[in-house]
Amino acid sequence: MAVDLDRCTACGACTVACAQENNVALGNPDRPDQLIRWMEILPAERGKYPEVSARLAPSPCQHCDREPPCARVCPVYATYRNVEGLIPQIYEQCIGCRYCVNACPYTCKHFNWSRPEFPAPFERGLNPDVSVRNAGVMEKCNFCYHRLQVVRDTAAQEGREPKLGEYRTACQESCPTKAIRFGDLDGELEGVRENERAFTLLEDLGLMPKVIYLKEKTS
Amino acid sequence: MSDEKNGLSRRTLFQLAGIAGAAVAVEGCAERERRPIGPERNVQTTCGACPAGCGIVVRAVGPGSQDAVRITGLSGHPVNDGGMCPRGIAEIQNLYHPERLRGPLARQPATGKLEPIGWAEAFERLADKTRGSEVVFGAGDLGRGERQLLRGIAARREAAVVDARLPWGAAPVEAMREMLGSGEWRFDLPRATFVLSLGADWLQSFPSPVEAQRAFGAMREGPRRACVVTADARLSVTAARSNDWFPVARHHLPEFALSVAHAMVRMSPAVAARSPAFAALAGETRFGATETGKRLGIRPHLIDWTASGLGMGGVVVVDGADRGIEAAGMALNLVAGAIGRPGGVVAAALPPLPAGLGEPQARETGEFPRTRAAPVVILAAANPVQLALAGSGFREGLARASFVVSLSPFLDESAERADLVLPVSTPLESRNLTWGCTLDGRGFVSAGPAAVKPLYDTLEWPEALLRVGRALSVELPWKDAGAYFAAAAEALSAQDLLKKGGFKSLEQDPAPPSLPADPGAWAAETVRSALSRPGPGAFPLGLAVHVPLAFLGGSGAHLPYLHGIAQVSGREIWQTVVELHPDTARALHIPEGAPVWVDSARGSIQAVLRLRQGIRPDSAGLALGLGRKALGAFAAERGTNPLDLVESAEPAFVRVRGAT
Amino acid sequence: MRPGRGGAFRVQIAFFLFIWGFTFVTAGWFAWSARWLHRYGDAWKPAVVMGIAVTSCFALLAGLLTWTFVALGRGENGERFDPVPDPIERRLLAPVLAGWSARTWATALALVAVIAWAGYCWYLQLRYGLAVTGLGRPVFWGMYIVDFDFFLGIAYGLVLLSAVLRLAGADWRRAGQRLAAMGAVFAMIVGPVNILLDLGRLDHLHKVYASGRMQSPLLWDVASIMTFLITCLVYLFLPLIPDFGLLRERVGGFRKPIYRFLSFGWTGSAAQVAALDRANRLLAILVVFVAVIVRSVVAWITSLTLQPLWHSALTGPMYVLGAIFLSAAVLALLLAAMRRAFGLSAVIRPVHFDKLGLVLVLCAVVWGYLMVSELLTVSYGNEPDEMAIIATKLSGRFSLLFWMAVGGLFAAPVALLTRKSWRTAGRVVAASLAVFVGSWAQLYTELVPVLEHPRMPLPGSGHYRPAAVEIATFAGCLAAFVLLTMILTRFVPVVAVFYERRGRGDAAAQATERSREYQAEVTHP
Repeated sequence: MAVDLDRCTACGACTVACAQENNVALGNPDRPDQLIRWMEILPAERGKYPEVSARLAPSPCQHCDREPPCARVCPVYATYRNVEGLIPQIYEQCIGCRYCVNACPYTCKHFNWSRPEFPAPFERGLNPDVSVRNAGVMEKCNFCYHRLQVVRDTAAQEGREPKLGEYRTACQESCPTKAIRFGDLDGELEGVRENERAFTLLEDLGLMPKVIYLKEKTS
Repeated sequence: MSDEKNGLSRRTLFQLAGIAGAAVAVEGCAERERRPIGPERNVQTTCGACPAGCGIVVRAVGPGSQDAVRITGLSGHPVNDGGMCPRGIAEIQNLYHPERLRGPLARQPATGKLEPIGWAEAFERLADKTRGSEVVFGAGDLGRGERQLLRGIAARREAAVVDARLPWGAAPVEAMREMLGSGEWRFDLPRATFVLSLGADWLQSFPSPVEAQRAFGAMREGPRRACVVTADARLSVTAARSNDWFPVARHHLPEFALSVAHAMVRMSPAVAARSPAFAALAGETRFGATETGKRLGIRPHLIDWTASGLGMGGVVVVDGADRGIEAAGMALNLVAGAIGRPGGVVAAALPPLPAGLGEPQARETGEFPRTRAAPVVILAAANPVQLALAGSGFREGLARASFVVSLSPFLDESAERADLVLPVSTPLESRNLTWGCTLDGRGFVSAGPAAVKPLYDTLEWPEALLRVGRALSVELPWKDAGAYFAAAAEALSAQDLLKKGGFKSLEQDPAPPSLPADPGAWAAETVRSALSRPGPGAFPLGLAVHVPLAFLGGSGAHLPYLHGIAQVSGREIWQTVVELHPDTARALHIPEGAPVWVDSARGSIQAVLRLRQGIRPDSAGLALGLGRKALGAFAAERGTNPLDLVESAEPAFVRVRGAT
Repeated sequence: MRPGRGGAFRVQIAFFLFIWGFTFVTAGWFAWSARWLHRYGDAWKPAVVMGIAVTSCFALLAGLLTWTFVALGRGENGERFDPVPDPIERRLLAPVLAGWSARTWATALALVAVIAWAGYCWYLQLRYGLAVTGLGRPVFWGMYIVDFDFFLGIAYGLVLLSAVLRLAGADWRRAGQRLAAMGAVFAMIVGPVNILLDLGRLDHLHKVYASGRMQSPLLWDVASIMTFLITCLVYLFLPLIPDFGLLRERVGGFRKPIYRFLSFGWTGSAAQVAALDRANRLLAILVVFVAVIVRSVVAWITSLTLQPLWHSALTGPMYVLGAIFLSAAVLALLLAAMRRAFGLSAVIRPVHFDKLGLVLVLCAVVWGYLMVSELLTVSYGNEPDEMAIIATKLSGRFSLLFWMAVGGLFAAPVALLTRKSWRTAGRVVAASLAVFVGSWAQLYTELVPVLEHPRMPLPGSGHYRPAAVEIATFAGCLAAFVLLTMILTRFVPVVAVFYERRGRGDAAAQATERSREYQAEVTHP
């Protein structure tokens, strides 16, 4: 995934699209600290008044390519790096120890502190492709993995290979400025890594996140 | 045989597991059942969440494909081109919100409570109550066609229409009308090369949110890369995404605009001819960059730099909140020669109105007519109890009213006090037909069928308005919504669009409107009077109110997914935050995160203190949208309403003190 | 039939089979895990390494027990075992032989009430999820993990302390040996309950065994808790055998057959005494290793992550030292409580408090050194992420707890106990209380501030404050610890009668011997 921070306007469409697509818990107003949103806009203010600037970066799970810290410490294989290089979360396998998120330098995983409730008729708006989680398990962005499955199934039915750009995430789809792009680094996102503006979060930890940011242009 | 055996043993295993499970079975651990997917449908239609008119595709599943589960943007649509805004996506939650009204309600005189009532009876009661009475409409965020309908009805009934929309984030219609002869002008942001946001957080609050984001994306594209600068008291989202942020207090914004105009006139005296009156005012020496910079606390060279940027083909974006800022901003556009120039302020090309939607049209006023003694008030998507400014007199008017009718999908704060509540359908349950003009001035028509069948006993907006009209004995040429849609679609040659969903662009160029002799005269007058407004007195901090996109127009707090994005530059959710500069808070001896009172001459609200460098030390920032009293657990009694602090949208001043 | 080969013998055989069976099952589990991991294409070596470590520990224990029990059986000389009652025995057995007073019952009932309250809170948490705790984002771990570390610290420390003292031949350890082992077992029972409290899906706990991932430090923890619980049960049980033999002779009723079984035919013959002594010595060596490693495993859970301040090599040594420190305080408190409750001032002497006070002061000094090392290393490096956390500890949100830790773990012991004449029972108890509270505060300030300062500026992140549920369950854990101790004092003497008696007899001879040794060295260079 590539996020062009020069185009991003922090409108939050990605956050809401992601929540809607992935049946994310609504949240409890009494416990805002237990809110779950897989895609978040991280605000970071720099400098002193009046020379202040802010970076507003949409931030999903970073899908570390090299030894994801969460998968390293998981005691039960609930999270791991799969053959596609994505880091899924298996809700039925998770025991809810929360070691993964404490080991994650990005803290980009979420815990279901209580059972996600969708008071009727909210449940009619749930995406049938995605399960609703139980209380006590971790969850996080999985790059809309269910969409990859749909793309594969469709392609298989039609007897072809999945097309370039066919697998799109909900955040990418909703982004009004097309700041979020998604795909293979040697396919849809060719050349992104070589872009002079490219950087990743906490680069020095060497985790090689698959979310690549393009920093704001200066001119 | 062996299968059966396997099955049996597996069943036994399940039973055993069940028994073991029962030992630990508590409600929280019960497995969830999956809902049936059912036949899947993708409905192409037009979003009705705001009047912008984005093209959307709604994925509907479940039994009879009646469950809307996903909304994506329609590619190629002139407004959104596949993009979405968070509010559009949250329409699914609006549709399936548990607090929605199930049918019409009427206040029973005996109990004083709202009780269910039939539609026929409801309109009969409305007809009874309005017979011989004066009627005042409150018009909130209605679609374009619905607004025309309402104003048509009002004109025929000689009723007043009060604009009950939140002025923050609205287009500077008044300035456009006074200076340019019509309110239908657009900031041509996609083609702009230099943009000065004058106190407008347009990335968050703009009448057409997706277009604003898209325009920003377009500006950042290619070698041209437009420059955006923002003059505002706080580092708003727009300011954060701008190339530069000029911290200017809200009450200083007209002065800032004047000094930019001053610099422009000095750079090339010829521009003064574009508006002699305004140039004359700006030409006063007190608006020189050095002097103004000192007075406003900003660096003088920034003023000159902005002037040169604007002079080379820029545009000033303002919103309609404060008349002084609005006038100054539009006058600056005038001096910069932006009016009518691509990349400046361009006239909107709108399709000819369908017959019956044109004249007569009642004019909207900002204030509730004070002469009317005990009118019947009909609120169309208007929620004055929550959103009316004190100065508009709407709340008093509501208290005076003999009978109050609310048309809304929800029992909001105003509907709770109404005598008759008429539930309307949410956008996804209604047909939608709208037309408009993109930011670069191209007209379009966008329409589509209802994505799903109505959940409850509700009416589409046109139907509700037509029947209200009939109850007021106003005859319009359509017998019901179907006839209205058919006629309007025919007039716009959009019959297909209404059935299959979609859009079409209009080819015609707008007729260049004729401008008054000195369009800036009104602005000069307005700005001059704005300059004489009192500054901070007992209340030392300039109040910088802003509207987050999540709560655009002041609504949306009942939709839980929107709360995740309501505090874009902070961390607090479901609470009202007052932003202060650390130095200011230190002088007040209040630590970050502490509960505080924010006082103004008009009232006090409670908030939580957040410190940030991105705000002027002499200002306090507050976001609108919370502080609801109704609409269920996600909205009611969460945070406070900054509108309780202000009389009008004019710059206001507050004081912050610890609440212990 | 030879004497002692009744039902008890068969049960003993069953016990051997069980402990050997357990050893083999554990070995099998690790082997199976390794194979499973291998098939998954994942690293299988951790499973093999852990399997070898844990299984050999169990095998050593099982061998030791088998060998000891055989030796005990061989040494059974058929003589009637009836030592002459002496004042020490009467004093020590009095709580076992007499019933509980009304006041004791009242205390027990109060403790049961606290435990019931905690149980109800746990029920609430199971019903409504962990939402009822103060936890949230980004503080995903809170008081439960602190309490877990705390109780495990008590368990590991008590065993470590008493084993080291035994190996060092410190005479004064005898009075606390039994209490240390008892406390360790109960802390080992109460501590891991906190892990169960903390788990989101208790009903998925079996997955740790069914598909455990051996590379995870959490699995190391599971294995080490398992190992240590068994080890410290044995560590408690072996020295109890002579006392069971004695109690078998002293009590009647339903308890007699239990004591008879548990005494493994103890008659106090020279061969039995020799066998038991050897077993105890070997066990002491084993537990020192096990305790150091498992305490470090607890520390590694945090220190193996990349988080600022957690990711420090100092955490392991700090935890080991902290465990000894805390357990010395707990032991002093237990001794004082027992002395008061059972009038044991004849057995629990000022010298015990003096020596424990010395341990506390030494620990305080080393703790101070480690803390200064950590603060200096971090501050001089001046990494922003780490400095932000240090700042909240020194002067921010956590300063109260941090300075409580410094006060309790450094200032109080040093100020109260430095001079020998200061180390009275009262002062030692006061310092111990400070250490008890300080240790908890320290564990809290090691864990929570780091979590409250994520590297990313997370929206919606809040401050952590323990909720009523967490406080209630901690109270319940403490109450359970005290109640279990109370109950056990009704069944076994709190100070080993056999060893106390023998130690008293030997002490004078040993002292003479020692002094002769020193002088011999001086006179014959």
